[in-house]
Amino acid sequence: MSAAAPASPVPARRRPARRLGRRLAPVLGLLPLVVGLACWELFGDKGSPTFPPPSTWWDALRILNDDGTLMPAIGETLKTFAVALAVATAIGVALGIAIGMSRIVDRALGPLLEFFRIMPPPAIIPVAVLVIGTNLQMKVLVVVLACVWPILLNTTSAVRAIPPVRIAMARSLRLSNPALLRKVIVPSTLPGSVLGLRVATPLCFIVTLVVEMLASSGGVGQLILLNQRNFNAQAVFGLLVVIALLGLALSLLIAATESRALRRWPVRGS
Amino acid sequence: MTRRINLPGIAVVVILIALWQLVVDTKVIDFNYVSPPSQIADRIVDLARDGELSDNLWHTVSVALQAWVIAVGLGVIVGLLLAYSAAARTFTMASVDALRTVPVVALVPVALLVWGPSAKSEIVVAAYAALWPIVINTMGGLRSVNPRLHDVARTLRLSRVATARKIALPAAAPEILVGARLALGTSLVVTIVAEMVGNPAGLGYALIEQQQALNPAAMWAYVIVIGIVGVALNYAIVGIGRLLVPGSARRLGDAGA
Amino acid sequence: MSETATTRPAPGPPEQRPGGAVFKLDRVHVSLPTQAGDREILHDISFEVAAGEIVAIVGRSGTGKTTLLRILGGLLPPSDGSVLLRGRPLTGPSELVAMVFQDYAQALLPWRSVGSNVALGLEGRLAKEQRRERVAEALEMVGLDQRAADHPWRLSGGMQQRVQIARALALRPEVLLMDEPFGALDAMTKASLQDQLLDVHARTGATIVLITHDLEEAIYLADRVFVIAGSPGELQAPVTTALPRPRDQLTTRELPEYLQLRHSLVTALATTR
Repeated sequence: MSAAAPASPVPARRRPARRLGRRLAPVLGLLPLVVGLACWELFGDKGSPTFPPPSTWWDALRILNDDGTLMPAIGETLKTFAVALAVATAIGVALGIAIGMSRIVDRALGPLLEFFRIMPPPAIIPVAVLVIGTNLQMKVLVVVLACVWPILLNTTSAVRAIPPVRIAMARSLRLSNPALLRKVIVPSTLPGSVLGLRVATPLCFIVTLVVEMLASSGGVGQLILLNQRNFNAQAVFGLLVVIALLGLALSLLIAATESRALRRWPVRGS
Repeated sequence: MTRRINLPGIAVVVILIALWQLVVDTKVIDFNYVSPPSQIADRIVDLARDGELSDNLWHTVSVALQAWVIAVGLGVIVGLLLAYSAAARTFTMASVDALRTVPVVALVPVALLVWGPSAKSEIVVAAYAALWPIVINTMGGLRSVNPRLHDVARTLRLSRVATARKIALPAAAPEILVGARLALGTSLVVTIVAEMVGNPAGLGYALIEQQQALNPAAMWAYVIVIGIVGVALNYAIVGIGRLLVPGSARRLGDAGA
Repeated sequence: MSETATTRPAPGPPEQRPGGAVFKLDRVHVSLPTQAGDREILHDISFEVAAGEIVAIVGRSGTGKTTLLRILGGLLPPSDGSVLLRGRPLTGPSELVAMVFQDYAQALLPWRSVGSNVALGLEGRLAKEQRRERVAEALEMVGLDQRAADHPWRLSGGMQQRVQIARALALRPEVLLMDEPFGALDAMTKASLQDQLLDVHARTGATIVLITHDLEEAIYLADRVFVIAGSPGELQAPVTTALPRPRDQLTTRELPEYLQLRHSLVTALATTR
């Protein structure tokens, strides 16, 4: 999302020029990118081994599609992404609430979790491949280890931010512990967890690609690496665009889910 | 902040390590590739002694730091530009957002293609990846500087450069610092990925090498070392941050700690 | 087990209620752990609250008023001394008691509608039909029956506080504990809510224990006013208001007895630490 300019105090209809400018901003903002690509196309050398112009990318992608490698690869990547994100959400919320509510759990798990959080995911991959093998479980494990943190940390801070009076109120109504959890704590932390989910999504996607590259385990990640090793520059750039678009689509999807999930919450600041 | 010794935390870690050693020693579970901590420790010492560890360590850390420095330098300047020029923002923000969301790992094969297996391609990709947190945080930090401070600068009739240097940048410093921390972590990760995937040098490559040679203890040794490097760099920058920008943790609340 | 909320009939006005003390506190001390060791918050508190009474507790900040209310609500056990509710020791929040908190925004659940918030204490305890009836009854008593489907953040502060009161009333409690319920509201809303509270009291005969820093409010609403002073807080001898009911914002506040009470309580508070 582009950063919004501060709101003008004058009603919009009196500043048509400014409103037009703001509406056009996304388009205008893409100008450097578009101009860059256009120049590349016009002045690039179609036969260049390292910088083939954009038109060649489309051809390369079509070839990949025709010989049946592109779509299965995309499917594989999306499958790993979806499973890993779901598991990460479940673990992140559950652990986040446990840590947020209990000082002991927080201090006990703290150093361990901190170590795993800072451990660069790629380093875990070779180990995971040897110990678990090259399969969905391994991929999901690695991706979850990498992207559970935003969800966990945001959930923990949301739990800690629950106003104490809300808990006192629930206790005065003699809500049982499961009811307290279900009716007060989890809903209170939902906005925080969803924020964490939004941050975790691109991370999940990236680490999925990393796992695919490093463990030769299918998906678009492996595909782009394969083409690099075959010096197929057109395919490499083409797949880069595919990856970028996939990432964008996934982010938009999660943003839409966020809107739906939070529709009963007040807008921030009210 | 009170610094009581974290007994439960230490207890958990110690128990897990002991359990690990026990499980492998008694062969309760026979994982061929899960080495006991004692073996890993031995291997770390061996590798350190014959210099292989330090060579790889030096390569990775220096590449990551070089990329980070480039990213910080470039990022702060770009962030300044975007923060202060509405025109620049209008004509570039969407592109920045688009470029920013491209998964950086996908660029590693591209870099390898263009610059071949070398430290240069590592630095290029790592710097590119580390650039964005700095740009976004610098821009964000500068734009959220209290407008009162700008009024102060104007009443003191400071030049634009002086305003930036004496008022805006120090005010935005905590947030820039958070960006720098993110960038350092990103730089390290991308460097290691580049080493694992293309450039045969550094900790990442050594890790793969040991894995493919089926030396589990040495492989685990490198995993532990990489983890420690990450933690060490993180603490280093937090410490430097506290020195250069005292009170930043307090100003930012949780995020800066 | 005492009668449950499902079987107890709706309570009538004070004269008809079974008498006796609802609360009996005997030499209660409360100490809470702090970074610098235990700190005594309440010292040697002894008093009784009769059924159907309205009792107000006034005092400066830091004297432990909220802690005292939490004791009565069963949210906090005393460090020493005994707390009896209807003759039995209090071991936790009782179903005979409902609490209304000062911070209404945080004490209501923003993701639930008004009706759903009021029903919170009834869920799992009453059947759906009965819940709906109780919620409707409670909302009608506070004048919010038209707003059941709205979310709390759409309502004004005064309305949100009324939702909290409705939630408490839906439980048909014998006792209402209120922690500075009108403290965050403007003068006009406050006056209106005070009268609504008196109306609720007349209709249900509930015992009310109310904390307030507003002396005039205390005198206007209560049968007895306790002053709590000092740190740790200690209770001074209560002042009986003996003002005629029903009370009225204009006439009651102009009575010579009212002014006398005000005078003596202001002096009493002024001399406290």
